Amino acid sequence: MPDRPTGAELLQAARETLLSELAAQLPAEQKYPALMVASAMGIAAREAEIGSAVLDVESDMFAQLYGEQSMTQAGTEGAEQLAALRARLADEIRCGKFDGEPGDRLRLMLLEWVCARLRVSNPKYLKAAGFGDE
Amino acid sequence: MGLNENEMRAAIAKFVARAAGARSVNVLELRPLHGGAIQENYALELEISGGEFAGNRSLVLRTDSPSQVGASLSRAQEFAVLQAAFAAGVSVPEPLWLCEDSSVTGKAFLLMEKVPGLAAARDLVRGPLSDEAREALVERLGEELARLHRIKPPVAALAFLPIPHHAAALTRVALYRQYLDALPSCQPALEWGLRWLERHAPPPCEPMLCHCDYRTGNYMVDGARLTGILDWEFATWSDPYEDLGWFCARCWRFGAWDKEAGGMGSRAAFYRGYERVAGAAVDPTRVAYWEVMAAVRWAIIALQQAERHHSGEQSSLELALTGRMVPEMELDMLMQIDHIERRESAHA
Repeated sequence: MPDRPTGAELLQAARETLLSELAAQLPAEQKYPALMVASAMGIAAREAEIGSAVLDVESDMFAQLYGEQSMTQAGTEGAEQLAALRARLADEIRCGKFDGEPGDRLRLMLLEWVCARLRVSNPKYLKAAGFGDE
Repeated sequence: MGLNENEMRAAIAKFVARAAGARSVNVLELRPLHGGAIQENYALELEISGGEFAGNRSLVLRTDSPSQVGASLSRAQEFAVLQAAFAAGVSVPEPLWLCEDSSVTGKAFLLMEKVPGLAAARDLVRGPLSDEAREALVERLGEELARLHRIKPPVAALAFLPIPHHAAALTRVALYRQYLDALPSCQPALEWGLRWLERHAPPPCEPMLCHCDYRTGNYMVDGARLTGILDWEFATWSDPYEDLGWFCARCWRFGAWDKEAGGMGSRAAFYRGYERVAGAAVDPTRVAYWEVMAAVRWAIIALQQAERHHSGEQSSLELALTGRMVPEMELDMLMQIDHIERRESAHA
């Protein structure tokens, strides 16, 4: 376990200070950059907290598409493996290999992956699109 | 621009004096306008003595910014497009002069009339306009777009614009795949969208002059009145539904999701204006298709912008954050495809 507060908790606290105490003091033309900084801190905090879930969803997708043995590595090698699987899937989709797929299997997997990424990058957007807080 | 501000003022004054046939030109103000990711715009206040333009003039000077996007038009080409749109009666800032001689200020620039008002999308979407005023505005924007789409090839002055050889949608799919191939990471969700777009491409239609960035944020509104359509650097011959779909796409509603025409008004009002000038009905299924294309295109532009940050070409928090918007467009894309297919199966 990392020391408390965790990196994510520190980022959240820093973000709240920026928004509640500092942003109001800034001249108008610096409000937008301050909001961008707050937004970046929010994404980084959520990624530190739940970013591994995104990788899990993506690994599950590849396990379902290409078999459990497709994801065997962790760490740096795992990231390379994921990138290679992503390239394979992208290529096969482009070539039409999934055209004849019955039902919405791949589409639903991609949707789940997109939603997982949005929980990190913009959970409000996900909610506004009707996907709730799943 | 290479020159210091005084040198630049002097160079502009000299150029305008000659172009306007004036006795003398005094630059009262030269102020950078922010907001152009691709072009650098300056507000220019001139005092012109003598000649047909005599008097005080508010202009915009538009030049290339340091980071070029390959797909966009040069200033000379944009000037030709502006002239064609202006001549067709589209509300655009009047294009006045083009300087292609890079020895004047260091690079080509164009000068156009400065139209009054506000373009910032979020301010417009959240602004004080009444619902009636918004409906009238999007209806007018529909009319303007139909007026632009009356321009059809061949037009000698626009010979630099490539005419699509097959369906414009398939031309776009091929182009966006090229863009993805030039990026370092692979994008399965966007590939899935592109494959869907390829398999569902509408039949080719007669190409028309399209703005290709027709959306809230790229037109000026003064009070409740439309004063000009801006940012013509992506214009080309295409399927007119590309513009209709881009305007209505969810990604350009700036949070006003229920106002399907640009976050400003109803789709019905926008189509009504378009139909009045076009003299033909808008096919909503074709617009829906191009809304999928819009989500894919914006996602790819966002990836390109983020890459400018990653590569060190232009370090910028704004560009970096744009890269994290990609799943928003991917969600829009998936939802829009789902929406289209549900409607189709309901009608089958």
